[in-house]
Amino acid sequence: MDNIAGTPVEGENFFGRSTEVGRLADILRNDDILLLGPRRIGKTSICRAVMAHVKASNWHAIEINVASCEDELAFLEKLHSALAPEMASLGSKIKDRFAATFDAISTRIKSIKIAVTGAGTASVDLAAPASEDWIHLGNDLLRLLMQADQPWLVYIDELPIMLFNMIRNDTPGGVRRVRRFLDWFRNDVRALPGSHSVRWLVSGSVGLDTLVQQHGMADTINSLNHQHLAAFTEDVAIAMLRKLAERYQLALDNEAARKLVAAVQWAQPYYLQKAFHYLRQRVSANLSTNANTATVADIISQIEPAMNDMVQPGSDNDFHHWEQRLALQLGAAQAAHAIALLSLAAQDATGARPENMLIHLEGRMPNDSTEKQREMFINLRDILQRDAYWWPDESSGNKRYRFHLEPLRRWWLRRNSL
Amino acid sequence: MAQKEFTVISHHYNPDWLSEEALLASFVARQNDFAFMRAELARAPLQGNVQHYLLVGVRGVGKTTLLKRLAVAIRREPDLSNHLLALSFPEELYQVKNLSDFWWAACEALVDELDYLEQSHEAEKLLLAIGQIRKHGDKNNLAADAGFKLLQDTCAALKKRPVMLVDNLDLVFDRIDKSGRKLKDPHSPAYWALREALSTTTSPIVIGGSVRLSDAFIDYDKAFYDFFLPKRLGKLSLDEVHSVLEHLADVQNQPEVKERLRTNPARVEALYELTGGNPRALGLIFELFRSGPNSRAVEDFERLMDITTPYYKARIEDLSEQAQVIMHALAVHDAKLGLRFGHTAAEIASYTDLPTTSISAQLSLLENEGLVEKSPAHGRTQYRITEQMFRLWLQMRATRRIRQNVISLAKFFEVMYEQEELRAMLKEGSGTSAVTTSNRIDESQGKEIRSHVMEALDAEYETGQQDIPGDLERRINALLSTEFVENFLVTALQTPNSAALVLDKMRKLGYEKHARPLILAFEAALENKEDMLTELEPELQGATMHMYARLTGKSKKKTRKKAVKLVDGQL
Repeated sequence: MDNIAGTPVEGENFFGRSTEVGRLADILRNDDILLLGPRRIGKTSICRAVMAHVKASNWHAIEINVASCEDELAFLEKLHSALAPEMASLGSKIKDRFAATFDAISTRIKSIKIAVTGAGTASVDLAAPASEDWIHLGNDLLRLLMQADQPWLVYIDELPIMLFNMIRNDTPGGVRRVRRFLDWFRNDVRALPGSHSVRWLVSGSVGLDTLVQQHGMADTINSLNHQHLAAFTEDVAIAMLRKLAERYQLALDNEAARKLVAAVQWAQPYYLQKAFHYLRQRVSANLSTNANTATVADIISQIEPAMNDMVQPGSDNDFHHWEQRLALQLGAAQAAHAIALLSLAAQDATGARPENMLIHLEGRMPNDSTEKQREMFINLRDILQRDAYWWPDESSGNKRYRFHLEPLRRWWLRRNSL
Repeated sequence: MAQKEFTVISHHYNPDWLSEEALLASFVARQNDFAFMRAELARAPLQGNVQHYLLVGVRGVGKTTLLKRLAVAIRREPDLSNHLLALSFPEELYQVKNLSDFWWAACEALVDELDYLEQSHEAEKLLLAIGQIRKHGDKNNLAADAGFKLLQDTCAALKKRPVMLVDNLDLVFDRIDKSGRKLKDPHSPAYWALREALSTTTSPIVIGGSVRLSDAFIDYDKAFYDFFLPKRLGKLSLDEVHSVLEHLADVQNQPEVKERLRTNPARVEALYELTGGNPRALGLIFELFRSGPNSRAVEDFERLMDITTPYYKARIEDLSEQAQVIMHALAVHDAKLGLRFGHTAAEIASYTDLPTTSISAQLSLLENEGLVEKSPAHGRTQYRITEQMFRLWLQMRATRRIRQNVISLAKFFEVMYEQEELRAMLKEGSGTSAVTTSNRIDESQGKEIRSHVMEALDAEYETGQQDIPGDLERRINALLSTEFVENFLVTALQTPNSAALVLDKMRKLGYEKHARPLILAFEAALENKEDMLTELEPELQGATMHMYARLTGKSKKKTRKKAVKLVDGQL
C-alpha cells in the first residue's frame, strides 16, 4: 500500500471499505445511487471499487468524469467514448448488431449543437437544431445498452461540476437546461424499456444538494438513493497506518498508530495518508538515525512536530480555504457568525455545548428576536455539520459540537489567537 | 577543471543550462529532499496509483535544480530508468496557450528524452506522429487530448511511465485556464480534464514547481484542491550553507577560500541572514569570498546587490507602473513597523496616494505572480515582498536613508555573530562566562530611566542619527555588550513599566535604524509576543530570535539566572 493523498486509489491501495463496497453494490441491484460528500473523502476510489466488484459479477461498468463537460452534448460524447471500448468487448454477434447503430450515433453527436442562449453574438448555436436533439440521441444510446444481455453500471463522477458549468455559461437558460437534464435522467431514462438493466452511480462533492435546493428542483434527485461515506473506525485507521508503515519500513506499532489517529481525529483515509506523509518526512529528515531504523519512541516523538507542520502558516497545508469557503457560501454576515461559533468550538478538543454557543450567538445578534437567533444557530449548526466542520458528540452525556479534523481545530485556534 | 569551474558557478539564474556533470558536481544542498523524492519515484509502479508532488518555494530556492537532479537520476539510475522516463519541460512554456498545447509540449519533451537516450528511431517516429496528428487535429477544441493519447500510447509501447517535471506549474495553469473565449477562468474545464488525465493507474507522474500554492491548488471548488502534495523548499540551514560553500571550494580546488570560510564564520553567517539561505545566492557568495579575501560582510553584501542588479532591475521593469510603485512602497515603507508581518493595503494606499481599491487589485495580481505574500492572521490582511533579496535590493536602490538602514542591518549581523564567536571562544578558553558584571544599574523604577550606559548611548545617537555613524561598528558593539543587554535591558524587563519606557526611548533615539533585531526582540520579550518572531521578515528572524534568547534567557539558563540575581540584589 502506497502513501498517496490526493489522487484516487485502486487495487492494493484501496483499503478498509470492502463492507461499504458490498453494501453499495447491493443497493445497485434495485436502485441508482447518489454519493455526495466533501472533497478528498474517497468517493472516486470507492466508486471504482464498486465498478470492479460488479464487473466480477459479470456486469459491464464504465466511468465518465463529467467535470470538464460544459453542456449536454459533451456529456453524451463522454458517455459515447467510454462505451466504445466496452462495445468492442461484446461478443461478435451482438457487436455486429450494435455496431451500425453505435457508429450512427457517433455521427449524429458530431452533427448536433446545443442551443446556448446569449452565447457569442449572432450565435451559430441558436440556429442549430432544437435542443431536444440531445435527448433523442441520449435515449438512443441508452436503448442500445439496454438491449445487451448483461446489466450495466454507469458511474458518473463530478456531476455537480458539469451542472454548475451549464449555469455559469448560460446565465439566462442554464437553470432551465439543468432542470431538463435532471428530469431526463429521472423520467425519460427510467421510462425506456429495459431501463432496469442500466444502473447509475452518481457522485459529486461541490454542492449538488445546495444547487437543487436553491433552484427549487430538489425533486429531480429524489429518485436516487442518497449515500454518504463515513470515516474509518479507529481499528481500521490503525490497520491502515500499520500497513503503510510496513510498506515504508517504519516501526509504527499499535500504540504509535493509535496516537497518530488520535492526532488526526477524523479518520478519513486522505487525512491519515497526509498525516503519515508528514510523519514519514519528519522521521527521514529530522532523526539522526536512518528512517528505517528509527525506534517506536523516535517515531512517537515526531508525531506532534508532524502535526505542527500541517498547521503552521505558510507550511505545506493550507486551511484558509475552510474559512474562505464560509464567506463564499454564506455571505459576510452569516460567515462571521459561523467563524465565531467555530472559534468557540476550537477552544477545546472536545468541542463546545450548543447552549453556550447559542448564548454567544445571541450576544452577536442583540437586535434580533429570540426566534431569529435560534433559527440562525440551527441553520449554521446544520451547515457546519453537513460540510464536515464539526459533529455532535454525545459521549460525555452532554451534546458538544467538536471539530472533525483535529489539525483544522489547531489551525483554527492558532489562527484566531495572538 | 577550468570548464567545470565555469559551469558550476556561472549559471545562477539558469540552472537548466548546467551540464549533467556540473549539476551532479554542484548538487550539495537539498540532499534530504532529493532522497525523499527519489525514493518516491523508485516506488512508483509502472501501472498503479501514484502521488503527484508540487515543490513550492521562492525563486532561487532550488526548485529547478531539484527537478533537473531528479531527471538525471531517472536517466542514470537503473532502479528508476527501468520503469520511468523523465520529461523535462523548459522553465517557460511560451508555446502553451491551452491544455492541448500542454500535451503537445509533453510529447516534444518525450522526443527530447528519446534523443538523449539515443533511441532515435522512436524519437523520429514520435516526431512524425506529432506532426501528422496536429495537422489534422481539432483546432477548435482547446482541451483536445490527442497529444495526451499519443504520449500515453508511446510510453505504453516503451513500457515506461512518464514523469513530467514541470517547473512553474502555476504559470502553466495560468496559460491553460481558458474556456471558449473566456480567459483566466478559475473553473475552466481544462483543469478538470487535466485532473482526470492525472487520476488513472497509467497517468503520468507530475512533479511540479511553483512559487506559491495558488488558488488553483487550494480552493475547495477548484479541480486541484489538495490534489498535489506540496513539498515546501525553505531556506537552507547554516550548516548546509557551509557544506555547499566548502564543497564549491573543493570542487574548484581553492583551499584558500575554504580557509577564509573557516576563519570568517561571522561573514558567512551575516550573508546567510541577508540572503535568506537562498541557494541561488550561494554561488555569488562563493565568488565574493574568492575575489575579496579580506572583505567584510557589509562590503560583500553591497557587491552582491550590485551583481544582482541586472536581474532584479529586469524583473521590476517587467511590472506595470502601478505595480512598481506598490513594490517600492512595500519595500521602503517601514516606518514604525515593529513586530509585524508587513503592511495593510490601506497603509500602502496612504503612502502611495493611490486608491485602496487599486492597491488591493494590484496586490492580488502581485500575489498571483508570487512576488507578494500575505498573512490574514493579524487582523487586517498584511502584505510583504516574498523574496528577501528582491526586497533588500529595492531598499538599496531607494533613498540614502533607507539604504543606510540595510547597511546597518548587515553590519549588525556581522558584529553580533563576531561577538558570539568571541564569547564562545572566551568561554571555551577560560571555562567561565565572558559575561561581565562590573557595571551595576543604578536607577529608580518607573518613570525616567537613565543609566550611565543609556546616557552614553543617548549622547551618541542624538547627533547625526540620519547618517551611518563613522563608528557604527563600535556603537553596535556597545548595544550588544553584556553591559547593555544582560545588565541593563534584561533587568529593565523585570519591571514592565520601566521596560516600556526604555523601548519608547530607544525608538525615539533611532536605535531601530541600527539595531532593529535587538529592538524587536526587546518588544517581543516585553509584550510576550514570541510567536510574532516567526512572522517577521525572514532576514530579521534569526538575529531577532537570537537576541530574544539573550533577553529572556529561554535558551540560556545562565543568563536568566543572572538576570534574576541582579533584580533581587539591586532593584
